[in-house]
Amino acid sequence: METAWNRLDSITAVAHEPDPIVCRGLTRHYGSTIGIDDLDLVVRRGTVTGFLGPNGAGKTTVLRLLVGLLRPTRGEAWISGIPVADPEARRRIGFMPADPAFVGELTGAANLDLLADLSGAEPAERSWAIELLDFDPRDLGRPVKEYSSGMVQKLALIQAVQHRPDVVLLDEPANRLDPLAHHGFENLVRSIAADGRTVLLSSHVLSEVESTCDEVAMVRSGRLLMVSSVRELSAAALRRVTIVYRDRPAELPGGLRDPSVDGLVVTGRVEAHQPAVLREILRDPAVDDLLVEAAPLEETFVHLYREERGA
Amino acid sequence: MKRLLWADVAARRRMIAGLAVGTAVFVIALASIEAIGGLSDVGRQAFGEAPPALSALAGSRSGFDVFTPLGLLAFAFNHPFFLALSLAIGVAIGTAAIAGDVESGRAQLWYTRPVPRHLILRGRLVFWLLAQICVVLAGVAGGVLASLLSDSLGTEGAGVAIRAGVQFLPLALFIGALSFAVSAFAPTRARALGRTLGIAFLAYLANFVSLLWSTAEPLRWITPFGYYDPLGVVQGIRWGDAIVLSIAAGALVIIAHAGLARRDLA
Repeated sequence: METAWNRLDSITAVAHEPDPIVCRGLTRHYGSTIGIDDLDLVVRRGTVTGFLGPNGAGKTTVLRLLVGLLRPTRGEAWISGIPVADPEARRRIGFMPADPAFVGELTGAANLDLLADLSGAEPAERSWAIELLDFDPRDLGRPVKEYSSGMVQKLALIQAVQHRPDVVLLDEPANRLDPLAHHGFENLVRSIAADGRTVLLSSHVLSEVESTCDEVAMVRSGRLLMVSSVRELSAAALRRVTIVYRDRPAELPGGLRDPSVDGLVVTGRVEAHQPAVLREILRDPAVDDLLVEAAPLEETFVHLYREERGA
Repeated sequence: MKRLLWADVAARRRMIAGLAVGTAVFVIALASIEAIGGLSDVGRQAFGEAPPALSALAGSRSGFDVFTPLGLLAFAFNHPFFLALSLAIGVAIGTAAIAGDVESGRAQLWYTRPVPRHLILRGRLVFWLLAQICVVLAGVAGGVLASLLSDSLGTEGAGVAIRAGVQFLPLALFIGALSFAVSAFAPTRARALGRTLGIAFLAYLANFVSLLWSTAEPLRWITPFGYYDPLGVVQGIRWGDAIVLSIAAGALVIIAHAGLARRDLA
């Protein structure tokens, strides 16, 4: 009976476990400049969320507010239910800044030891991260001032995850990573999420977000535009249409945006969920072949930003 | 915190060693010139009694003659070159500790851990204290060594060098603490450095003027240099002055803590 109650308690505890990242009305102004304005955001456990936006959109400001480097002008944020102003919240966090500055005179290993020591946790996942990121362990014995920028970037990623944090916050993590390390990085964040932990990464590289994230939060000029799953976003994305004709077409199909003609091949874009446009194309007897594919997230992103600007 | 201390030592060991050696060599050089060439005798023969500007430069309020072997040794501990060398360590560490960390981005690695800000600052303060003591000790060791090798200075000179170091340490602590306090409110290390050096120079100038010009004498009470009389150590340590400077340094450390607690770190 006691065991059953204990089990019920643990199930209830998991069910009531607070969301890993919660922002309510989070606002930060730099004098008259808006860093981030009235941000409401909840990041779900076990997900990789991409914080997307152009330079100066406020992505880094949000991450810095979450790790307590900045203080909010208004609003609040919590990490696993703990207010970010409480140092205890930072026990749950692994943070990688955009421009990490290690102690150049110390070796990579000594820097990692120092940061693990400050985190108050054993670096249980250091070896795992080193292996995934294809970081040569022998380089850990060299002073960091001798590292290339790519190696510094890998070291910064390792220090962010080595102590097995519940919440990993990464600011422009894939900058300066070579393709092999980039692949390792994707595996790293996917593994962390699969383990029930949470990753929030900022980026302006859409292909990176598309391949790595489950959710996307888009910001512009300090305001949150939308939060969506990558799958939903892809479903809502423009369709790239390639039409191959048998003969030169008399006229281009209606509803086709940004058409371009190259001999008998016409390419263009169609809004999502517009089967009538595709049916009309197929009705034309001159059509020999039709290829429809989702446009890369990048095009959707630019499309959304243009719409927002227009609004 | 031990690793934090070692990180600072690794980053600054060459600077500490350079300043310690420089300070020691300077004191040894001045004492050796006195021992070999009788510098104080040459001065007395040339000027009779020390000119007011030289006495002011020596920071003397005790009236002790700088043109004596012991006076000259004590003067080494207020020579602008000695001050620059021995105070540089506190200024360098203090301005780098907060404003420098923020500017370089190191704060984004260190202050995002579950360690309260004041504990990291405390680690930096301990490092600075040890480094400062190391540099002052090197100066004292230079003075003691030169004295023991000199007939004109002897064990009496060694005693003066030790007392001069003890008397000087609170002033060094004050300037270092000032650097931390300024750094806690400065956006960049360059600004922290500029402001600290500006305040220190004005404080030195105020003391110099107060020594030269009797009307400006009250200025000595508002400058830390007014609580440091290197020639006075020939007669004994002025504990009152040392306590005042130490309390003021403590107050500046509290201000640095308050500034760090409130400021943005990126």
